[in-house]
Amino acid sequence: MRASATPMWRTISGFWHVYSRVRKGVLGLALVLFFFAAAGFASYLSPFDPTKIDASRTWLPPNSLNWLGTDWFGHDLLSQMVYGTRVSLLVGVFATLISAVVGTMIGLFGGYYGKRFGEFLERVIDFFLVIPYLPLIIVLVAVVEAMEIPIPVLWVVIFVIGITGWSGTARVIRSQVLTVRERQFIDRARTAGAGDMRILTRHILPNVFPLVFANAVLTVAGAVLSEVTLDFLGLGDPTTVSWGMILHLALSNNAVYRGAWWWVVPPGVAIILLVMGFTLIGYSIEEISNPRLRERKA
Amino acid sequence: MTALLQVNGLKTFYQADGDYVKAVDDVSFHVDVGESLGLAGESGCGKTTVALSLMRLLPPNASILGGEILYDGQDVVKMSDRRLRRTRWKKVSIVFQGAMNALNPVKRIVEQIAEPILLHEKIAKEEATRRAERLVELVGIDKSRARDYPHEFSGGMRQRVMIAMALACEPRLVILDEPTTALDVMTKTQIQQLVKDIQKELALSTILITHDLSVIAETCEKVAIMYAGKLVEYADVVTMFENPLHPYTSGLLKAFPNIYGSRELPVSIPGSPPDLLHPPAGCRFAPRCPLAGPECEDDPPGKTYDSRYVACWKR
Amino acid sequence: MFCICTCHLVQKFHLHCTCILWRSHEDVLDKRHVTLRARTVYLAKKAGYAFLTVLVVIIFNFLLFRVMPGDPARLLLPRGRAIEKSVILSMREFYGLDKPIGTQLVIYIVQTLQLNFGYSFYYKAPVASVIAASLPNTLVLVGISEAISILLGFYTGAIAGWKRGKPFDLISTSFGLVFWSMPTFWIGIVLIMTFSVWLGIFPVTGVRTIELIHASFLQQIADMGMHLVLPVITLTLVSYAEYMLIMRNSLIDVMTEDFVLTARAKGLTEDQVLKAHVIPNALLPSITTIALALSFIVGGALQTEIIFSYPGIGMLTWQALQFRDYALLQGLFFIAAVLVVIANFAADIIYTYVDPRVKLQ
Repeated sequence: MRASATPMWRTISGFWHVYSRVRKGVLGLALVLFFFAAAGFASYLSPFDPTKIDASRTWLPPNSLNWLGTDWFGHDLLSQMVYGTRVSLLVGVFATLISAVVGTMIGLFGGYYGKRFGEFLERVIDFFLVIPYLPLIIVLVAVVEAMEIPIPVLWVVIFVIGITGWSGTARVIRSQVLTVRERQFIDRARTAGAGDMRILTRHILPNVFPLVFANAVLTVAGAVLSEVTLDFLGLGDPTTVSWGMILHLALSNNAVYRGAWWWVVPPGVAIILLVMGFTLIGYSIEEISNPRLRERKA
Repeated sequence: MTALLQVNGLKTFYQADGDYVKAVDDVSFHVDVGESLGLAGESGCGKTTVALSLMRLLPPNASILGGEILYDGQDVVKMSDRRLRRTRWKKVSIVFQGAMNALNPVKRIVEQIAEPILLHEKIAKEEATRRAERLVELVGIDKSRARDYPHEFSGGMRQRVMIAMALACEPRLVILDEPTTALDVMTKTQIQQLVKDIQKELALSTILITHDLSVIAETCEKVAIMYAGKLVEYADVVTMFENPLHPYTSGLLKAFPNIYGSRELPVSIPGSPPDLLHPPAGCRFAPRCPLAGPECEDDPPGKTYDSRYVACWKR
Repeated sequence: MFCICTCHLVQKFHLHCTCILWRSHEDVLDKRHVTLRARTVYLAKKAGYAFLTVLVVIIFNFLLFRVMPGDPARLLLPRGRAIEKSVILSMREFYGLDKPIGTQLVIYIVQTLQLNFGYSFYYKAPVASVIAASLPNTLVLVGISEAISILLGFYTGAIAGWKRGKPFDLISTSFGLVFWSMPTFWIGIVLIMTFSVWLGIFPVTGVRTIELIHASFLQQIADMGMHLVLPVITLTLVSYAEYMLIMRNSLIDVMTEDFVLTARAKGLTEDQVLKAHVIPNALLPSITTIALALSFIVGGALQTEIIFSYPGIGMLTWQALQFRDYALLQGLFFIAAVLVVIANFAADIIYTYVDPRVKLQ
């Protein structure tokens, strides 16, 4: 038996065997894959160029030509929705990469090194958890934009969401590391002469990895929501086609009072489905790796 | 005289993957008034399931599918929920391992001990509290600590609290599930002594469940050995230890190092227990048994000699 | 306190003990004093950390300015307009911009702690008074919404966790999941479209109808109530989902503990087990998790106020952003952070009273 307890599924197929039996996990995966497909095949799926303007076909409810209707400038909303998937997924995934890496590292170090350094990191994590999220993002984006750095706004958004979203992951990883650290095989490794980094990478990390993964997926959900909110508030790139932007334009053009529900409802539904998809996947992975959360088959 | 507790053909199964895990398969035994029975076996043999079945405390995916549990003549298995709740703690109580969360962390221990008293009897709160405090003293804890919280006690003391709590409604039978497993050797001895003293003074019947035969040797009069959901041997303690009949029992005893004996490695039983989802058709110990023969492909009948019982073709 | 007892049983349930006690009865009283002292020390430490957090926020605000290009004084004034030299000079004096950076920081910290956040060029008033005018509206909105969310969320979450796997749980959790995945502003938009525009039931924006300013007090309250309904629903829906899921998970964790089995073994009904044992223990971690969720609720309130043009500090943030009124923006960020810190501290205090396990050292 291996000295360090690794999860029971060590192969992708082993993992899939367990995962495929969790209903909500499969549903989540289906949703997410659907959106990835839409993003990937956007050029084939969308009937029109999303930026194409047609002055004669403005403010149209869903019809045979425009399945989701048109907006104030004549843009076909279905095409915009399809292309908008790309931005949401791009920002969601890349921002999460930053958050997950930073959060996991801080969580690992914070949990492993006790006393001074670990406690200091704990304070840092707590500090970031207390800072109000949306105001922080708003202020950061506003300031970065004012700094007039020649980076595309999209990457600014990714960066800001990334460096503000790590605290949740860090906290979770840290408490997990604290538990794992006390286990016997760590002591054994240390007496065998393993150094800190080796213990961290070879023994602790594999044990907390399921949690890292589950958390990362949930972070993507949060990142997508943040991105949409930023776009909606006008802090995103006004030239990109994204769901948040669609809603931003809808509101700026009084779509609500003009009763243009087709402009307002579909982006929201898409957001809900995508976020739900990632959330379901995240919860399922969590459930699989934490036996207590597993549902007992009645 | 009729036994205080009579278990006949108990079958408790767990549901898993659309099939059943036969955790307790046709187990019968009895406990007389004032008798202490030890129920032993390795992990997973079904002894805790037996304990939970006795009070119908099984998790939702387990159910008693057959047999009867006669307590004072009444069948626990067929009891209505209302009557069951009245039986619990008042006639039979249970002591779990005093691990961290066997006691409610946010309630003072005197409240937790008084709780069943107030539930089952119509007495005033002060009286119940007084009785609870007396119980606290009974198990060797100073009365002034009665208003403390569980986390303020050590493991051994928490076990004492659990014992005090189990005695709250003056039951006639107390089940103890691995009461000393998590404790250090010195505390273990103290608790064992406490259980013995209380049992003698209060004329309690006890069922002590453990995998540690030495604890049974020190505290029990009778012992029942379980293997893979089946009862394989039953006898009084001295006879069992001096002359074990079932090959599994002898294997267990041989696995204990003897401090006075010769310096040999203890012999462990080769192999591992069967999967209870699909247990072997015949005797469940046969695959590991040194005495196994062709007749062992059928389930061995239990034979009773005097007050011994053994389920083996070869005995 | 130390006690060695030699005991033997005299009669049934009577234990005769000779005990040697190191200390006497006074110890029990002492213990309570020790607890009180320890709690004060503990809370003082937590207060210290809270203050430190606020300080770091102030420093963060200070640094933000220095990062942006251009003259900081100029940045605090509207762009693209010619400003008189004297105005710029008074700005520089206010922030002490000719002094070394260390002194600037100290000045800034002192000023912020005195609630002097500078001057809002858009509102042509001190930032502090602008914020003070809008803050009560936000507090009313958030207060009502959170109260409903917590009560409803905890109640539903507890039942959902207890009846785990059953229809109630599956439906509640699905609902919760859907609402949690909705952007707050979108809920607001949909509600407006349905109830205000289409059905015309509720007023759309603002906090009260101006014309009613001379109406009776009751009418005014009723009017404010009508204005609050949709914003409160919006904010409640998202928070509710989160609290429900938190409580549900907490309850499921507690359900599997041994003491719950013991409670059942004692003969308590399922209902009694839930109320006396499970819920008290499930509430504890929920308190800390709520405190953490608070930093996100600020964001929700922000979005809600923007959608409904509700004149609170969220709406103010939106305007400050639009007009790049950085002084106002910084002041708002500071206030928002302070509110969350205070709420967290309150949760800490509550927690020391309800959880006996808190190590007060």
